[in-house]
Amino acid sequence: MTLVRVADLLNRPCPWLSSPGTEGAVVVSSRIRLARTWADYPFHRKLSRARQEELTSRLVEHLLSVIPEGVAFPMGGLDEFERAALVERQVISRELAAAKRPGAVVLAEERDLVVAAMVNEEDHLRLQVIGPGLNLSRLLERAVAIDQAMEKRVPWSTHPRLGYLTACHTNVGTALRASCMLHLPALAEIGELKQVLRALNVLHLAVRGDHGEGSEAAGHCYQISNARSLGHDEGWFAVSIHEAVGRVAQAELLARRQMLAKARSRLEDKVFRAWGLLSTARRLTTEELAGELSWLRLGTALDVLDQGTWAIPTDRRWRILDQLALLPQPAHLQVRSGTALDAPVRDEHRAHLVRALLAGRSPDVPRN
Amino acid sequence: MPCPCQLCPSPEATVHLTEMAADGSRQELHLCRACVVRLHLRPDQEAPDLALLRQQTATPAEDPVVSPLLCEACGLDLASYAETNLFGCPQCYESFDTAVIALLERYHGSSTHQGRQPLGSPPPAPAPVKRPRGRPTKAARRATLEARLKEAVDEERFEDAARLRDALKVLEGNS
Repeated sequence: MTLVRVADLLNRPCPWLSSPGTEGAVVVSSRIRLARTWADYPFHRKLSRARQEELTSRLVEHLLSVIPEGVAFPMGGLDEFERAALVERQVISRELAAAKRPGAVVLAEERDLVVAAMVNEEDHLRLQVIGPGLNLSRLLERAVAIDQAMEKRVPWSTHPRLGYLTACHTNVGTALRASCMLHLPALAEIGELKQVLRALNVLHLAVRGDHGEGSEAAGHCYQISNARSLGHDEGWFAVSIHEAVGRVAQAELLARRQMLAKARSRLEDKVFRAWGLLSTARRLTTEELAGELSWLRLGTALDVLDQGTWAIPTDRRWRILDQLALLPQPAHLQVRSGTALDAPVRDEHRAHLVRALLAGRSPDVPRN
Repeated sequence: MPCPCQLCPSPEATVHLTEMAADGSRQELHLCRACVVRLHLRPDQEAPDLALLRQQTATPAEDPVVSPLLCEACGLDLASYAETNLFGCPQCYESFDTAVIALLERYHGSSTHQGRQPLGSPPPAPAPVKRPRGRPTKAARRATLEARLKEAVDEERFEDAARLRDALKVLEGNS
């Protein structure tokens, strides 16, 4: 990966977003995150700005040594739209994007995986490996390999009884978060989603909107992850999430079959209304697009939209749906336009871009 | 004017709880930050029973959870952890040992790490590991075994690697 600007990154396909994913297009992506802190430094709330800069620079240097394809983006070198675009691409957290302190992200694309190492976020290092579909064991293997290479260079803070030490007690131990993003429109539509998600909470699993903690579930996308990180090994947590996600995916597939069998006309109405709106609208808000895109995605998974309506082969439809999930997001639009845009102008650009993508044309963004 | 904590000798209560009974009578309880931490009270939880809380009196000197209140290494006040959920340094885990263990037991259901150790650390004592509910799929078991095998080979733990390779063969043989 040879890129130096966020704008270059945004013009490339996002490797972890490769629909239909797995489990009948229900599981969009998986992520493994390991948190690490450097034993030589206090955590960030007790670390001076000068030492945070030193820590960031040293950690980035080590990361670039162990991730040969990596490219570093220091947060101080990014404007607010570039930071927000990285949040939309889900390679950095809202917290890192909003932080006023020094920080960086090291990004690497490794075939269909993305390595995104956040430096000086809540912990000194948040190492993430993200990939399409349900594939936690492969991601864990890659994350552990990077961590082992880092451990030869950096003494992590550990405790003989508590394992890896983190700034917050909720991450201590393995400091592992395994998560998957699921598209659950049918469960939501037949009214069983809350019940399924409540059962996950009982199993100590966390359910959030698609941008992590505190975010809304736009477009019926939910992230399921382990809430606990101590008391079992990394493989156990990954297997727990793998199994829970598999069960939720089965419930969603059953709900989809029920909709096809008992409420096909309602389902078709939702999908064709979404098609009609997205293919003709002149202004679209982010929320409106997310909601309608969810039905278009479901319609594609269930092969409801005929070729006469959307004259694009199924494989290519998935590529377009992936582009629709990212390129019309507010910061993507503004970085690719090269300028800040007011909300009504963004809505116009968004609708223009959506119509072009649905028609199979190249994703040009109107320039001011 | 500051009012004292009603559960310990602290002169300043910073959290004020009010309970309205069905008959319209009103009860109040004033707590300092240390007692809020000690009793694991959080703003997002259901309203606590004030009568029960009143029984949880403590003196900082006697209650190991409350003392020590400061981390000697970074100067973090334990009560301020309750507000931010951010420790100041690795040493905080030792400084607030008792409170930390109670916190971890409550959140994780455990206070003993069972996972990877950094390279060069002594291997952790084997501990019974509970399986997740339901049996893992064969693919998941194979993936976990393969990941551990690679780790064992990388770390030159060849006895472990041989054992894991045998386990993989058994798994494959069961297909």
